[in-house]
Amino acid sequence: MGLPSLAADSTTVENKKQRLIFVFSPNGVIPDHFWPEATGSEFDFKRILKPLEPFRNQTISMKGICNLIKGDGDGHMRGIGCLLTGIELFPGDIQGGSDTPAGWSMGISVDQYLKNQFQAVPEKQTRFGSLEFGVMVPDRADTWTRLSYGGPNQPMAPIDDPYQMFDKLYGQQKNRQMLASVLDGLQDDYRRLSSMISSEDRRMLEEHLEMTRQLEKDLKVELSAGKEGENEASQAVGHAVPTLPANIEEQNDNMPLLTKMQIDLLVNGFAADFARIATFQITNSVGQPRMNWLGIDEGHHTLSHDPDDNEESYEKLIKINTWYCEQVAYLAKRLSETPEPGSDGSMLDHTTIVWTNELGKGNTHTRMNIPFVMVGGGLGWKTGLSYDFKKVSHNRLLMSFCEAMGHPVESFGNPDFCGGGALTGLT
Amino acid sequence: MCSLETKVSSVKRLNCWQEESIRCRLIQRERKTEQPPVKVSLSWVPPHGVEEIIPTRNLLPISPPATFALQVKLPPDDRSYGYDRGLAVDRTWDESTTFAAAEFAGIAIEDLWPEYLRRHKDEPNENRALLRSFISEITAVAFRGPLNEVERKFYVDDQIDVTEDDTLAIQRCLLTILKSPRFLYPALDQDRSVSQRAANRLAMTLFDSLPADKYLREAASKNELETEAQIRQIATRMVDDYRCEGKMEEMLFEWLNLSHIADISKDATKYPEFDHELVADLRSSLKATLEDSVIDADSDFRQLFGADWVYTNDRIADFYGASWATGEVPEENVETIEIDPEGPAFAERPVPRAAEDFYGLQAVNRFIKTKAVAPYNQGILSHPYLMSGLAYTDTSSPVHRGVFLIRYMLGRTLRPPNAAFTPFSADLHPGLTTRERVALQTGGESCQVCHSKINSLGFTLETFDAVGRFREIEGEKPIDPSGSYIDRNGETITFQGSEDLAQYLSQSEEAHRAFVHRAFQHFVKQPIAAYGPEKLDELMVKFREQNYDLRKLLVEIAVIAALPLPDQSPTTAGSPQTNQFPTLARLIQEYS
Repeated sequence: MGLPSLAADSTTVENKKQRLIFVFSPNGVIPDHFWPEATGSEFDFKRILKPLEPFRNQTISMKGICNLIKGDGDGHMRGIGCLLTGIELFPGDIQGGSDTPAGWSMGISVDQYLKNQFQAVPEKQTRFGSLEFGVMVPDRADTWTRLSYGGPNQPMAPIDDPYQMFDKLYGQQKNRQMLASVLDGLQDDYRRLSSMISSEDRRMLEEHLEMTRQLEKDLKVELSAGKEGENEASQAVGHAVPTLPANIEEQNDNMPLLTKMQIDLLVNGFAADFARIATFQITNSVGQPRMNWLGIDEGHHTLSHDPDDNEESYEKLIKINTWYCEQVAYLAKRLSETPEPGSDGSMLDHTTIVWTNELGKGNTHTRMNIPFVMVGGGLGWKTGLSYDFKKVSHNRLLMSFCEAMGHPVESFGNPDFCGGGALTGLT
Repeated sequence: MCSLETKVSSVKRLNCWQEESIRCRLIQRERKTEQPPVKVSLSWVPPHGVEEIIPTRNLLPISPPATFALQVKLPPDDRSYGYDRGLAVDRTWDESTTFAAAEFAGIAIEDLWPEYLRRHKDEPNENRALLRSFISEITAVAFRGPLNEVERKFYVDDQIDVTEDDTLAIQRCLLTILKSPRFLYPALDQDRSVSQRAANRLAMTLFDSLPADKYLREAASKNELETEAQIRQIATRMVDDYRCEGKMEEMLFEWLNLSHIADISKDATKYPEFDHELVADLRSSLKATLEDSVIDADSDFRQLFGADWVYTNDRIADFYGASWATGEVPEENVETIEIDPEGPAFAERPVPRAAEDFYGLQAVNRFIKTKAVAPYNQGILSHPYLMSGLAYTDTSSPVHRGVFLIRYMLGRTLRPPNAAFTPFSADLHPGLTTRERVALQTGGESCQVCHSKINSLGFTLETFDAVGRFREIEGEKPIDPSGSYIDRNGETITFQGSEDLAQYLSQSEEAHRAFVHRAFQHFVKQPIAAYGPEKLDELMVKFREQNYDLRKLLVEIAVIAALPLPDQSPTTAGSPQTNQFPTLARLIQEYS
């Protein structure tokens, strides 16, 4: 009693839990009211970033990170499709408002890369590895609606229905156990039938078979983690299963509540160690939420095209982005209030939230100065700082994420944009 | 006690192919005094709409069998080919099919299995023979054909023999069956009979589902789908099904790009009355126009550009003026629908009897079909929903309208612009009309490569402002709606305004071809060229001969998709289909 905890002292950097969350909000920001004037530790919180001021000491603002990827797709498509992948889009038939049409990204996204690395290391393995959250993501699969990629041409659909996410996290265990027991037989059938069809479809069937094999492995991890995890989680967190308000429909006006429900599920899921990597995608690139709750009737994307001298729109865009920031702040707050299971400090000390966007600014579609604002201690970087890198390729930041999470890479995405390697001086 | 069953029997989901039925039973306690009258209303909030009493046109006068509406969300299909299609193997998709299979198993355990036992209660049940036959029957529907021995052993016997608990056995069986390649990949049917394969492709093309209807299964098992004539006959029956009707509506909404302009909002100071309710009414009005002019039986595609009627209500009339007036309609003309319990499972919407016929039961939102008055008599082109959707919040947008006309109505391709431009603000150019402003901004040589085509079409609709209201002047200058189009043969057609344009589109072979092409792609999920270079021309001839009737066109499209291909090049579909789950549930009931 009264003595310092030996357990806490033994928490070295090597076995410290690290978590990473990418929060996406769309259509660029208003740079003059977003980026701090000053660099270094004495920086100011402009209007949009104001909600993060309580977390000043855990915040990093990184100006000067640029998405330099060229190729097919309009600014929005390349904005979101190359944001976490750092590589061009495949040619395709999705036509935007300008430039050439395009398809999916040519590479894996950094969240999925890290998930795979984590799942391969026993002490970092979790039930799901990663969780892909969404809020009001339209029900269509195109370049604008997908942030995360499991590999080239493999967009990951975020789950934007909190009840569905709840079911994934806390239900379905029995079904998955049952599935695990029949996968072997199903694989036989896939092999038997694939001889029957054309080569293009056979390729798909073979991919499916391969996925089934991977699924079998993952289910083993998940189901064994589930057994141990259950007790650990409920002891450590004290509330294993969250309660959600009932019957909240996916409608524009429910967006604030849906966002809160999803954040609560994310924090609970992390507390139970279901995953250590997540994406949190608010709407989509060119997203059109109408923030009636802020007195704004127009859709966000429509407004984002208005020229800067349209004072009314300008002001509305500041408000919209401030609202997104409030959601990031709420996530940070929830993490900071949750004690880190099995360790000292809060979960925020072990988690970094990376808030980002597909564009630097909406009405120019620039991908210079992509918003990258981070909160929390998951990456182990110095915090309470504002940087201006002037103009570095965002691939180098993606490399830095890998390095900080314990899985350094030679390059990430297109190697042409990785010159200079991971950013230095962050720790 | 008295029991009233409401007239509502089946509710068609808006813009969706799924049916949902709701049965309400109202019990009223017997009273000694006079029975007070009972009134019931049933409302809904349709997608992009506001709460309203369910309109009559969405009610079918039939009693369909109970159905199953899947609650598990399946992620949308890939769009990177320009239209929805399952192209890749996806973990999220795979996971959701597991959940869907589990949900379906729940229904099978609660409803289907007890019903099956009841119907077969006198039959011997040695070694759980009934459970085996129950699962086998489901599997045959799910697999689009009979099971072979290997399949019967793995999908039925092995799973049943694992456990003595029937509930658990059904769960295991269904999870395995619904996760199998046979169920998830519709193209895996090369070992099926010619008729079975034709049935599979017909159901995929016209219903986005599997052939589970009794008449289809019978035709397949009796080998009655081997000739073109046989296929045509059954396709003719299928296009009258509401699932096909739902797919037609979906196609038209996609074609008109309405899913992208779902959220129309306008400058609140300039157009204070242009509110959410009005937008919802306009959408309903356009939807009714589409149903009447293209979807309903014996309709004519050309009416899209020249129907001499519109659907209106009081709110629309208040905003758009006398041309949209509803007129006085005596209350007794309100249309009601009676259920015919013996009626066929196919039903037409009630045919409007006269121009004054009501659509909808409720005074506040009733739609009336009334004679179109110029300049609102050019079908979709003069419809305020489309015109306000193709406009900015405070000005019209000739560029959006021009691109829409070229790409969608005429099926031409356009090179994308070199960059995204912000349009010149009207406030900064107060002396210019929209036409002049657009001409100024797009006057550069490199812009003109495309904008000479875009603008000259878009300008013809300049008589409709940002909310789709007719205008003759803008500011103090008269509107100039003249324009032109150079067709594929290099011939220049000039227009004096929207009327000329509408006239041209309804007669233009280019517009007809674009529509046929689009319809084929939407229904078959394959480019038509994959079925032979001459197919589009053949369809064009038939479309013309059959008076531009979409249903007849779809029959021909389905025939092309269902006939075996000489060289087997495209497989009709490689993607797991969302609708398979509900269809499976619904038709197994019919089956038992």
